[in-house]
Amino acid sequence: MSSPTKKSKLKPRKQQTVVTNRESPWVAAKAEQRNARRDTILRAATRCIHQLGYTGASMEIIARELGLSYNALYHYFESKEEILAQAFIRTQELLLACVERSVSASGSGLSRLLGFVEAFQCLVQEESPPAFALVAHLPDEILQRLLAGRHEMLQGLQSIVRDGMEDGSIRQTEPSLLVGFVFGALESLPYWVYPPEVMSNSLQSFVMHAIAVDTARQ
Amino acid sequence: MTRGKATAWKIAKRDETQARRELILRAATIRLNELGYARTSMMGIAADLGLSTNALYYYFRSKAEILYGCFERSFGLIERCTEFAEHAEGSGNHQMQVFVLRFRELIEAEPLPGSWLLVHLTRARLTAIGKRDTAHQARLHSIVLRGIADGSIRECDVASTVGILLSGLYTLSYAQLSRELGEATLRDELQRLVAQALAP
Repeated sequence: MSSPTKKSKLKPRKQQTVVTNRESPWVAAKAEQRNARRDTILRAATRCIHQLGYTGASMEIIARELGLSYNALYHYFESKEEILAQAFIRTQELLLACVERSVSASGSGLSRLLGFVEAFQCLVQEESPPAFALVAHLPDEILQRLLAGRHEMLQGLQSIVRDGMEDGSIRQTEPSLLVGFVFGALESLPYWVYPPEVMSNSLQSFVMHAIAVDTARQ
Repeated sequence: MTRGKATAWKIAKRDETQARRELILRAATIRLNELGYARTSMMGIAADLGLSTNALYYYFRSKAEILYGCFERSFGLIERCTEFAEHAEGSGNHQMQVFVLRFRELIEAEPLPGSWLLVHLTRARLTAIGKRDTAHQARLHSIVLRGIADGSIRECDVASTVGILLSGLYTLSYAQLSRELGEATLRDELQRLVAQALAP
């Protein structure tokens, strides 16, 4: 019974061109909210994957863990692959920011490097980053991107060590070896089961002793 | 009837099989590190060795078996470094230096499976590997404790310090460093790093 007369009773819809104001605070707030939610998902998903393994942690389980519907989860991430990749990328971005802060910080090379070690530890405790072994599940292009990022971080840290050698707070050494060693030890932090205070103490004094100027030799 | 008894012939045969298994695991480790677990096939491993696939299956029942074998092999080799250090003379600090240098030599000479391959092991085997790792670390702990007793190593939390040392060693990209610094410098620096990190 949908007669054309009935339709004509309706007012003709006004042609409206909707231009989204990209600078509007509303849009910015929405984007921020979305990012925050994505971060929440990443953290929860990483926890799930650590507990159940990559294959065991299905999108359904991740959604349930968050109290989200399956479909809602897909609104934020296309697939589990994307979640894992984003978890790695996000961790690296946070780390990169740590490195940059330490590079531009004031103080001796030694104190800046120790500051970075501390910042790294805080990050691991707060963010629960994905375990290194999970890189086996990443596609090649993400892996390459992460490797490039890692290289950049090592370069930044090496420049701190060189500064330290110049200002006399770090002993004469090979920056690439020192940084490779310390950064490698830090990267496997998420695996360690020792209590955080003990770990933090050990790590600080290990780095301290390994790089401080050897007074006995001079 | 000498069945079940270890005759000289049987022992020789067993050793021979063991040596061949070693060869297979070594070749498989290289392939697994390069291609990852999914892209490594039994056929590919066999082709690397000039073996038929059937012959490979005589030694290992499956790819999973080979992967586990690779990790067992690598632990055996690392444990040998520790054993060498335990028998070395000198202070605890010096023994740890011996371990690190020996470990460096091992990495130079033998391919070891990357830790990212661990995710492909079954849970039971992962636990078995974990136990073996713990036992190995305990041996290093006792070296460090000896060092603390003889005054060559500073007072520290032994377990976490050994953990830091090992993970630093495992993740170092030796190939790149060796190119950049030269092998002799790399060794000297590594030894000094460890000596000083542990010294009082």
